[in-house]
Amino acid sequence: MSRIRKDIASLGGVWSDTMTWYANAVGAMRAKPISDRTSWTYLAAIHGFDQRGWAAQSIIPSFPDLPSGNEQRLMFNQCQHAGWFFLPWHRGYLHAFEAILASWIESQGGPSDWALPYWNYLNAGNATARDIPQEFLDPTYDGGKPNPLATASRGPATSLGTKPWIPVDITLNAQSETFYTSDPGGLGYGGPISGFAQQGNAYGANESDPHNLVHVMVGGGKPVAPQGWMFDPNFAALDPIFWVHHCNVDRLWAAWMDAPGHTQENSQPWLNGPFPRQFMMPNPAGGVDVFVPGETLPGQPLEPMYDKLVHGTGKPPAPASGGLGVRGTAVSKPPASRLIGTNDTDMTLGADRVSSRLAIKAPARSPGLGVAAARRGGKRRVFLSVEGVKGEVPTAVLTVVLTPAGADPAAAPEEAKKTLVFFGLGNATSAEGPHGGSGLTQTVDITDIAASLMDGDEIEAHLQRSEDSDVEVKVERLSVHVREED
Amino acid sequence: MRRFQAFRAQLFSGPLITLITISFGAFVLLWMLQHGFAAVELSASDQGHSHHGLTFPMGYEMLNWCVMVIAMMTPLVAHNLSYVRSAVDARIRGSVALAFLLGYWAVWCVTGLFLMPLTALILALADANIAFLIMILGGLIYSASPIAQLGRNLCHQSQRLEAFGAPAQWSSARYGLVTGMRCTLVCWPWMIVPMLALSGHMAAMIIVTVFLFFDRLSLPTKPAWRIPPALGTVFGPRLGVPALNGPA
Repeated sequence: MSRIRKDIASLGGVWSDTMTWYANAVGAMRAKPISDRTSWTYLAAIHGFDQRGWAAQSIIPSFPDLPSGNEQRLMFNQCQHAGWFFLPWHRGYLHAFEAILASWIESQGGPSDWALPYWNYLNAGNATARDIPQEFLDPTYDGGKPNPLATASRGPATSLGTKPWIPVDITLNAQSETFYTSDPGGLGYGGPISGFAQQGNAYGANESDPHNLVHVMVGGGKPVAPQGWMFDPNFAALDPIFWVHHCNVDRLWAAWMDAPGHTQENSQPWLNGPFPRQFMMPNPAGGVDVFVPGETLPGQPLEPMYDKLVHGTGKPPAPASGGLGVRGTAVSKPPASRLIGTNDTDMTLGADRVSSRLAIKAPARSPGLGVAAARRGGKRRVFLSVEGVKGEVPTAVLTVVLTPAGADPAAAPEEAKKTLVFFGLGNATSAEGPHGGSGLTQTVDITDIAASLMDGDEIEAHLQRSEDSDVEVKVERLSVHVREED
Repeated sequence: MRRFQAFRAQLFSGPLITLITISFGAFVLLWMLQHGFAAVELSASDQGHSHHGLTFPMGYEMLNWCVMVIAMMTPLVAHNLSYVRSAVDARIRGSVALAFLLGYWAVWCVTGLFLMPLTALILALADANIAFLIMILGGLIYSASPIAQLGRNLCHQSQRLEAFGAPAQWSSARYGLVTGMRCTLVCWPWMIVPMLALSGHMAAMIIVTVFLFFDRLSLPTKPAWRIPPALGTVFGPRLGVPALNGPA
């Protein structure tokens, strides 16, 4: 069966057949207990599960009929974030979710080719692309029935974009990354080498923006905790909008692979996935399948089909002879970034701004450094890494302002302000989770501001949290790297 | 098969192969030390000394112990070493990695001052064969315990490292010391096991090394009594989960 995923905005108006069946299926799955592998709560728990928190919000009973402890350890809390398995794991997750919903829809007399639609929020050709699709806001549908797609805890936002709790907008910047795998201190499309979220703890470009930003825009902004479900990976997949968001994130990856000049990772450690824990998903029959990242690549069994990879992906329209046929992959070996400076102590962030100076090594300030790359037609990129961030909050938003040492951050230009989202910070801080408590790292491209900062021996980073919270967030280290790209 | 492929791919990535090579070299050195000392051992036996009574010169025993822990414990720190190498100036990665290993090995060498007398005490109190079997059972029970899991979780943690020059060496050595202390919390009973083997000492060391290697590959999780994680790593995720491949 060929399922083709389509843009919600192109389905022919609000409450299309596709969206109505999506709502029907969500409602039916919600009625099943969490012990059922095809239930809404079981599927959401695969991403992240907080039994106490779910019970407190009446998502499950106080004494639920849970799967066995061993099964929970194997199936729940699998989500891969801040590492190079983020994209393939979520692709396999979407595939399993879509197959289970499609099976139920077909069994109820619905279309046999039903496919999960995507929320194409970066489509510049659609003036309302960033609005939350109406189907997720209407309290009722289909003649007055309660709408399962609107049954979710969310913040006040009805559209994406700059908000008081996240002062930055989503972009297509990630789509211009050349390499899939991030080198230490640098940025790649899909993230750095990681195990089952054990070693790698830094986001790739796609995960940073738009993925993390959309989660916080939709789930954040509530006046009191807890925030909306999308704000917390242990709740996020309970919100039906999660799936159409991730469908678009996945489509961005498909478009990125399809564009010329990009090299997708296909080394053996990536293709074969982590060890000893592997990726496992339920199937429509209630069994469980193991999958590996290699199966998510073009031409493999878990490859999804999209109606188009242009519009909202930054990919130019394909020539008449091209289209979806370009499927090249190669070993993604990023150029090595060079560490040129760090700050001298760790930092603790409360409500107030905290500043820290980074000493930059003299050779890095040499204007000749980028000449070799420029001569090759390449460029010199500069990155700031905010490393080892820890905090007992589901997600944290930090704004970093970079200035010459001693300068007033209030007078800094707009490009000196970088907003970083640490989605899943609490999970990464727990010593009992697969991250091992090592926290998260976020790397941001600061090439646009670096030239004006590198004149002195030091630059100063001013960090401030965007959300109101009494819980402290710790930052282990700040570092600056340079990378010469061809 | 796919689990094996994933394992094999991990084996050949990162610093693990280098660490396994160091471990192999230490095993060879240990074999040479023990066989090179055979003549001395004969002489010592003539004078009423014996190997299992740990009556060789203390310096020799400590040398043996230190080479033994380098052989057995080095492959366990692959992910810590990956972190160290990624956090420092690329030009000093080698020396900083060595500083980490020296700190880590130092803790394990000092641990010998406690574990060797403990081994001697066990041998004084019980028949060696019985003590060997009891220690294996004790090691398995300990590995299944919450305290061992707490130690395993700690072993996966990183900490701030300095990036340049001598401060980078020192902070890395400190991280090695801390990792070594955490590692002793997880592995100490297993280090006694090979010393209780009357014969096949080297084979027992290799088996324990492989066991601890698979133990360390397991992911951090909530401390609780559970099947020793090394067994789960080897036998796969279906261990103890009935009907996972069929309808629930």
